[in-house]
Amino acid sequence: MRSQRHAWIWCVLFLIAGTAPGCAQTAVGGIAPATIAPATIAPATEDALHAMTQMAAVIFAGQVVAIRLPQRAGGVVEIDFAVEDAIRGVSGGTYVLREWGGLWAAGNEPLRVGQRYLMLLHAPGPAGLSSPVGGTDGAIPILGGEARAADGRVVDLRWVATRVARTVAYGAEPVARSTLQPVALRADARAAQVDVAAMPSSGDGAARGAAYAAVMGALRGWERDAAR
Amino acid sequence: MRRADWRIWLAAFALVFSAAMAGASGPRWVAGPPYFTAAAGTPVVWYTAQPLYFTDPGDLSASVNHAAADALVAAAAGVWNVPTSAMVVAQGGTLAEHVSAANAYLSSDGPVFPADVQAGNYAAIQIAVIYDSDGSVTDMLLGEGASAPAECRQNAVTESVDSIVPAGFIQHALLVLNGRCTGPAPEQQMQMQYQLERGFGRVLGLGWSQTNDNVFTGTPQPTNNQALHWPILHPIDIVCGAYSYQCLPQPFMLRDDDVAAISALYPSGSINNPNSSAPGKIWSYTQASRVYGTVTFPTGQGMQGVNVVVERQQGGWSIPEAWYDTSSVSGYQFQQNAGNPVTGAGMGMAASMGSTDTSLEGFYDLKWLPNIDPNGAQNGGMFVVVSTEAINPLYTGAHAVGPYVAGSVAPSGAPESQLLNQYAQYAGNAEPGYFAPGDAASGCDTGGDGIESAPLAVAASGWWSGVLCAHGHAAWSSFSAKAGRTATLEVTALDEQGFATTAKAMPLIGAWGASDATGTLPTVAATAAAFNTVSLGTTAVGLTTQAQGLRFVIADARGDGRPDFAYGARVLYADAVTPAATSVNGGQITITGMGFRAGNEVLVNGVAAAVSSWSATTIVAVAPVESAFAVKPAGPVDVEVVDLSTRGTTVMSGALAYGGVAPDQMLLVAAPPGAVAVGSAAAFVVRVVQGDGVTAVVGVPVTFSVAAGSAQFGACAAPCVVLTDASGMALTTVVATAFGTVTVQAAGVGTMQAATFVAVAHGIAAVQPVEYVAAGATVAWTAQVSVVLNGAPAASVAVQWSGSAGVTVSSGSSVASALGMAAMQAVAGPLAAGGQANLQACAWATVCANLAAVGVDPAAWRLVVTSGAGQTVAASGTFAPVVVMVTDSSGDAVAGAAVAVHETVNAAEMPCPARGRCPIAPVLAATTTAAISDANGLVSVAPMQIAGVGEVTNIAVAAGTQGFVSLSLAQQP
Repeated sequence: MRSQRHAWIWCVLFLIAGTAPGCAQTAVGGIAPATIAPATIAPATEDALHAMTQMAAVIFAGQVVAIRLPQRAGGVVEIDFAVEDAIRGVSGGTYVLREWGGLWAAGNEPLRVGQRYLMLLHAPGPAGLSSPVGGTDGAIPILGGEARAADGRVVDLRWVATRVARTVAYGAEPVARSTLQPVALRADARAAQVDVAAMPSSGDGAARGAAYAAVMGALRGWERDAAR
Repeated sequence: MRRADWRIWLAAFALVFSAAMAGASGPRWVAGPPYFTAAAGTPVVWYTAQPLYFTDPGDLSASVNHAAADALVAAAAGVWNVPTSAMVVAQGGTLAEHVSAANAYLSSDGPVFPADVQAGNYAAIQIAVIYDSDGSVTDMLLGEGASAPAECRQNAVTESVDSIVPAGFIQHALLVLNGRCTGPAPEQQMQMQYQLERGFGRVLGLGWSQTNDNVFTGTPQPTNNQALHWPILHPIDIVCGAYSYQCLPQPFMLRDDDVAAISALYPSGSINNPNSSAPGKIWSYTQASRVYGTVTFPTGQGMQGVNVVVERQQGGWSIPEAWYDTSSVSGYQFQQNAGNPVTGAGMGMAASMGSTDTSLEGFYDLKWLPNIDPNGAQNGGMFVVVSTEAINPLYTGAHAVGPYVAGSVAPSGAPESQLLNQYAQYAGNAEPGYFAPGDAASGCDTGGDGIESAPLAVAASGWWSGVLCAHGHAAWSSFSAKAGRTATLEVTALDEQGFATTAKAMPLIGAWGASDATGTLPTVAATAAAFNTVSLGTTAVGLTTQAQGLRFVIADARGDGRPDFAYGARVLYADAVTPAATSVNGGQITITGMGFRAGNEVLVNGVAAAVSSWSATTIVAVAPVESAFAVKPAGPVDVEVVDLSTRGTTVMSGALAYGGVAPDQMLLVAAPPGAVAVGSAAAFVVRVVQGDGVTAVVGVPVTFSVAAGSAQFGACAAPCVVLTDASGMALTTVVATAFGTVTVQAAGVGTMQAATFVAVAHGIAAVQPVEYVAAGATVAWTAQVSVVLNGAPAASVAVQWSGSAGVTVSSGSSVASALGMAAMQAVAGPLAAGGQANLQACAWATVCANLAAVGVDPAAWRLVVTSGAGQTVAASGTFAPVVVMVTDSSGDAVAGAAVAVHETVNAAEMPCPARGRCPIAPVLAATTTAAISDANGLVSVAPMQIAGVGEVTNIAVAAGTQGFVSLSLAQQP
């Protein structure tokens, strides 16, 4: 599955070279700049992403430029994308995704105008409707995205990472707890129990995903493999 | 609680529930304006508490016939029919036809199902369950291949609530069961039942819940009881293998949190008539209670989006259960999307979620909490520990928990816990718990913000900060600019510590012309989505300035505002460049504007300019030479400032002309002389003046470099950039590091000055740096030095000699020979033991070698035979001289040492007779002489010798108190 991993090493090198200038500045005033730290793809997440691409007939990165909601619930929602990187099943320009309005029913808005996504889509069905592979997991947010900043974009793979199988083991209950701790201390305990920082792929920064260039490099590598 | 309080609590409870009973903990939707006509803040529920589902008359698959499928559906639906909820979801019959691609199709208005499946038939069929045996319906709705087994984790069950009316009721829903996800393995059907169980929960109007989220995160390791209290309606499944239902214990049993949600949404009975429940049902609060309260900022504003979880503690115990039982999100009834001036008011149902009643902004409601202790339990009433926590950032969009659908917001302040120890054991008790973290953000001063009709001018620096505080607040600003420029507006969301974040405000920016009508969507530029830059938490928009100036707004994408929605903002705008014209050689330019910072890049016609200084309002740079452009410009060129961190830019089009201006000049003020010794510093100074040759150019970078040879600059490492000072001077010292020709350059303002000099390397070294002299003696020795120039012997170089007390030289100078050797006769002494006299030899005046004479105590003298020992000669032969050396204890030769030489000559000994004494060899001669060691410590002894006879010459030499050596020489008869 990762036979082409070596093929996008250049992407990582490009990434390193490309992001270096932006990291050297200090602020005269206002806010110290903080770029979203890019990262390579974690191997398990890469496998999950690869599996998703194998179910996708259309793959591209692009920005939502318009959404047309149906007149009635359950109608057809049309989402216009400005395609910025075409990988599979699309040649560029504008791609119109036609989704069943049932997925948008009752106020659910899985896609938003202005947001950039890496889209992994099923082929349009007989009726012309399609949807992301793996539900919303196949609409992968891209963080950052001005055209001249392609080297700094990050693909937010946190939700893809939740598709990685893991071992589940439930521990035994504490045998006994002595006495109730002071509430002030218990607050810390509660904070530790739901540790946002420890949540898989949560928070800001590098944990959010992988460098755009690395992800696109991987996708193109798989695409070349598939074409052979 | 004492029984005396019972009536008071009962009254309070009735008041609370009379208003809130229609609401629920964890509803999927909450009514709000403008779509809903129902009371704002009330959960959206089924119009009937007994919705009926109708199943497809066909088989689900070859492995699951119709009856088996119906049983599967009944099991999945049935779990929601709990005694404490009025909800009864049951099968009402079958649909009129098997639904497939044969009778479902897509019209221009969307998918068309058979008439009895459609939402318009809700009065007869509330929930249509389609057995999509071949996957064709799933493929039609979701795309080709969506029904493939590989997609079963997501697409085994597709649910859609396709009719919610403004009155706040659900009328119809659709469940599509993908038959391709079933098969011969029983686990496949179990998996589908699990997913359908979750699907029914959603269809019934229940939202996702975060309770014991460590079961999802794995951190800390969850316990079995925590897994047993992880809601079935958790947002995202765990994947631990082919079937996710196997990842949690008892997957077909609702958790307390699920029961709480369905019981709160569809309560059974009432406090006034507990026995009014339907058959098989009981009053929801027969053995359950409620905890409600608020989470607020120090300002009093409600803090929305905080997950509130509860642990139960049995009466009489001091510790609570080790798991959370239920949860509620603060502000779940409050408005989710207030709209904003950038994208306008939201449309449709998504923009109609929640109430605008600010008392609900921080309100949470754990509406149904099962009581461990039955009424009248002897150990007392149950206590609860209520705690706050953050929503997992992954729970957004389709996975959203609580009101912040577009992106979760990190709570302000540290998590807190409260022990509610007044919790009563009486059924239906309601206990308040209020959280007001003192360390939460408390600043809410927006007085400095402008309003749409009177925007506030931005700070002159272009940098400012603020806070989007109070729900619906937006900050309006303005700035004046020249027409035809471009600028970048940037806003970065900040957390309480001032760090950039995406977990607080989601800033949007909109811009209008200053005189554009108010109340419209942005006319100049707008960001449709927050965080559209590579900088963390930063939203930016580029725009073209207008002569009338600009008005712009910063607003949260959700229309929200709270004390912890801080932001930093700036306008990156280049207003002018001076001078407006430069020579073809380029020259210094000064850019004025706002929002600059160190590291900003300047591009002139796309070519980088050397920047010498930055401030927030000024950048000084040197425009490149015209020849650096790919094409000779036909007119004035663009000047651009780029922020490499944020990619923000500002462009002044056609702002700088090339030509028509005398170029700046660089004058050579001082350069190293023709020859400079290696290691010596010499000044290299240039002055930059304008084309008039007089006016100094200040602050331009001059680059010093070494074009040939080896040298270092005193000012900085090469290439060394020095800014011209107030008089236009740029100076440094040059130090040659190796001999040879050195060329150094100073370059700047499109011109250059160079200086060439020869670096010379002188050397002088003593041949024998130290002469050891016998204490008290006076010694003459020839001092020698070798003289080199650039690595070769330096002939004919004059060497100046000088001595300190204790040493004299015969002359003050000598001249080096062709081999570079210079010598001088010197006399050292007398010196005391350990005393030292110095002699110095200098060439080229400053290149010197030091020599010394050191007195050696006689006790340290030693003698060594250097030659002549062990000689045996014939009777006619002659002994060679015996040479001994006087040394100190370290082996250094000592000059001037007095030596005593004792010699005796014995006749050759005869062989001993066979019996009797051996004969004694007669002494033929004897003598004692004295000698002085020469400058090399040597003493030569001519051995006594009697010619023609056999004899032995014995020599003993003594010097000082310790020096002694003896030897014998033989002359054969």
